[in-house]
Amino acid sequence: MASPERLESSCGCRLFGAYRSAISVQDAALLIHSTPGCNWGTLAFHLPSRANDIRQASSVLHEADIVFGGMDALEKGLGHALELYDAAAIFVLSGCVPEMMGDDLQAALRRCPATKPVILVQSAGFKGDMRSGMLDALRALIRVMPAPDAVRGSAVNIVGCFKDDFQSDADLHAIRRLLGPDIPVQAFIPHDTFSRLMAAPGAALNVVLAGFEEIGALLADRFGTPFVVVQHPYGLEGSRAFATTVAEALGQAPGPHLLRQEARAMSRLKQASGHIQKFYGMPVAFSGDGAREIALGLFLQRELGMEVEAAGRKPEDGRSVMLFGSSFDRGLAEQLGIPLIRVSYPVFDAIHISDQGYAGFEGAVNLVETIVNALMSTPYRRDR
Amino acid sequence: MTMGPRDYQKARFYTGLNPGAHEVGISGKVAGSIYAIGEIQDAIPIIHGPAGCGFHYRYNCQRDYLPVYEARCSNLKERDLILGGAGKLRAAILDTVATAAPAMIVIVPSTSIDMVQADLDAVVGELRGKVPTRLVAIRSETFSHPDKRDRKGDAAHRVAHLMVPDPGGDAGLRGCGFGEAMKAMVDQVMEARPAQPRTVNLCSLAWGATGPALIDGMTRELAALDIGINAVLPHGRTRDIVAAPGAGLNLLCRRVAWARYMQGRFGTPYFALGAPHFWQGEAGIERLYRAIAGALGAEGRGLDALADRGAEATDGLRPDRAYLSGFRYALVSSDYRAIPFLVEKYERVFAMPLSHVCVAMAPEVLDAEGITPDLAGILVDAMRIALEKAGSRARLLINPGAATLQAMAAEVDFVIGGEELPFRPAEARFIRDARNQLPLDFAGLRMAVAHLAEGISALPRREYLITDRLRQPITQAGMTDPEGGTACARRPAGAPSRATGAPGCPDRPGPPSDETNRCGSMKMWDEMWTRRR
Repeated sequence: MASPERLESSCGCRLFGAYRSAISVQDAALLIHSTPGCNWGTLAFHLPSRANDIRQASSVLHEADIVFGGMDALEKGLGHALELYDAAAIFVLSGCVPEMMGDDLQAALRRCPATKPVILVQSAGFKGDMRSGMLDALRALIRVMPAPDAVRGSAVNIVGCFKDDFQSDADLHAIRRLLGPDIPVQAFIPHDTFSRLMAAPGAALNVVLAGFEEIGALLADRFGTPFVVVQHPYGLEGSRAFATTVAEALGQAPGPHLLRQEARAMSRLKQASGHIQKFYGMPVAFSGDGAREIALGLFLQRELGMEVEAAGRKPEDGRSVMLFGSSFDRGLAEQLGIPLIRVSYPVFDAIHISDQGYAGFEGAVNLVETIVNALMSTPYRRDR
Repeated sequence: MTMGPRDYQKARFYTGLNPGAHEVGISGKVAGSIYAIGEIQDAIPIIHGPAGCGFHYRYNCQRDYLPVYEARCSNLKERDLILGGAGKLRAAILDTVATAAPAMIVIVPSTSIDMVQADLDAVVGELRGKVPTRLVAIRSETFSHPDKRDRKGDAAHRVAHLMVPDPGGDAGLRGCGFGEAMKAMVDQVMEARPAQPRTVNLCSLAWGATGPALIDGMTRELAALDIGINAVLPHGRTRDIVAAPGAGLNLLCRRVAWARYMQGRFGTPYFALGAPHFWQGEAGIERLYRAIAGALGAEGRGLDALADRGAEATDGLRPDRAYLSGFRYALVSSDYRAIPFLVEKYERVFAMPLSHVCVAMAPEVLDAEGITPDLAGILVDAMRIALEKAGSRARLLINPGAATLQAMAAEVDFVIGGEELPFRPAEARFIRDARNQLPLDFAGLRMAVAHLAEGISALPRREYLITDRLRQPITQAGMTDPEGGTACARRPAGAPSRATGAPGCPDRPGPPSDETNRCGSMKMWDEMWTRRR
């Protein structure tokens, strides 16, 4: 069993979480107030599938800043960021160093004549994990949301979608297809434009992906918007449950589009029926324990009949023949000689720019295809 | 193992696939240290700092194809930092010993731990001898990353030694993580021993993407001179590092501060090649090995045969050179420092006659990179001298406009340049000069020239290249607009991109708002890194 410390350090820190929320705001720019490594690391995991989306900078804290404080660097950096970026808002994320120095970051920001919203998220890595950073940045974003003038019909927000999640754009498309034409999405929180996010309080319902219940509660508390908690829509059952839960929460019957999408997915899956039969009892492991992975695991277990090894158990101690995880798990997968299916952040040894994701009915087909192809292309008994 | 043409191509195309971000930031010295330790086959680095440092520094831009999966982290929290983090470090070391049993554990301090000035040596000293693993602690020379003024000094030094490498090596980059890690190896791992005659250590850093092939070729060429490889540093095992002082000479490209330090401690001299491009072609290769033999005090054996093998290579290269010389070429580059070497490479080594040499030297970029007007003058002079020495008839064009470039392209058969050019030479075929250095051995040289001769006639025209279309804004109909485009305020038209090796802006895919923000990040980097006082 891996020590808790080792598991934790493989999952990033508060700054990475705050970054993932902030960079999801599609037209925001980010100033990472820290040493350059924090900027570099976050950007390295953002760029592989987003080469044309660079909108972040570092305040480049230097030795002299440690002596005299980082306020000057912050004020200069923010001044330049306000001037140079075509951005609707600026997120300022502070790393370990300025927080260790005890800089009064709020005071520095107050001194900058901001022409657009500046959102500070104090996100020193030593103060928490990635999840806490994601939630903090979401809370900071919600604090600048204005109260709505009116509630918009049956529009919903989907809470818990992040831009740097692998296949996130495809997942967003899949969610729209699942909800159908009668349930428009006001905003994917936080993976949307700043103006759409600011209009999010006008939605009739918040659809909160599991793991972000606190954010649903905060939005309910602040704007009175009801919310339902759903699992990520993976698999046939998961997709149907997602769409049905949302429709029912809005007092609607599930639309006929669901049956059409499911029937189409079933017809595709029949083409691989022989392969799918072989999945039954196949031991697989997940390295991450995020909400997406849990929902994916449910699909593999309940619908494909795979044996998902218990969370917390080290894959190297088990008998899994396939690993679901991030690019950092590739080393282990290679060591064990088993295929890796990339589902978790970060993914930097593969890109995703197509509309083929794993969410929704069609996503179930895509995932089955990926699994079969991964098994077939795994180097196995190549030496005769 | 002898690396063949496919290995050379694998090195070019299997590495560095992810977009680089050096235009908008650097990774900090931890990355350099992790790279160095990650290359040691039986060592594990422990990043002593908060979890985020341990999380992302496993991915290393020096080798994006192979993260340092095995790296660990002491995972410091607020309380740990207040108390110095010794307990967490001790636990991380013991856990690593128990679960991975490496030959060596190297502690890499993060910026947070530098701030609290924790005594890593105390923890390492306490456990040393109690665990069956060699323990090493890296000492930070600077906080976080090299100083910007050092970077400027480095640029000036490189220009000052543009044509001939400084035998003493580069000016050094205080706070370079690679150097800090290697100094820790010198201090805490290497053991004094008599230097074996006719042996060298090869340092594997900074050879470029095709480094393994270069080093492989060098190994064979040195063997022909009866010079053996004591170790390839740091790529080897811990025992190789221990035995490194047994070499008669350290051979390295740049980042020589650690080698200088090793010389002071063990007396091992070093030979700094500067960069592989100083030693191009048969004459360059011969000159290189004569210089190495001289530095090693190993004149004699094999040196006579060196000239013969060079002549043999020249004979072998004749048919391919004759074929390549039958076309007209233009060279377009923003790598203004490399122009003399590119001229030599194409005119003399490949025998490809250049009609034009176009170079972008935007004042803003020169300023940002520490190139004063005087240094810029030296650079241009060096280009002219290189053209003269190569007997080239090429016209040298500094910061040519798009119309000039377009007209030039119509006059030649091939345009040589970076991945993306600031214009579309639709009628000329395109030769991608990217990242690959010419081999430093005769057999490798013949392979490289043969490869280009073999493939040149199959190179496509740029007429339909998607990469050119991606530089234009996307219209509503989803088509790219050839009249469109945005200008990066830092880089006026014709100004270079260091990343692509081609002049011009925009030089990256993306619609206008993307371009504005990318340029914003570049300017931010300039303002916060280079220009901040």
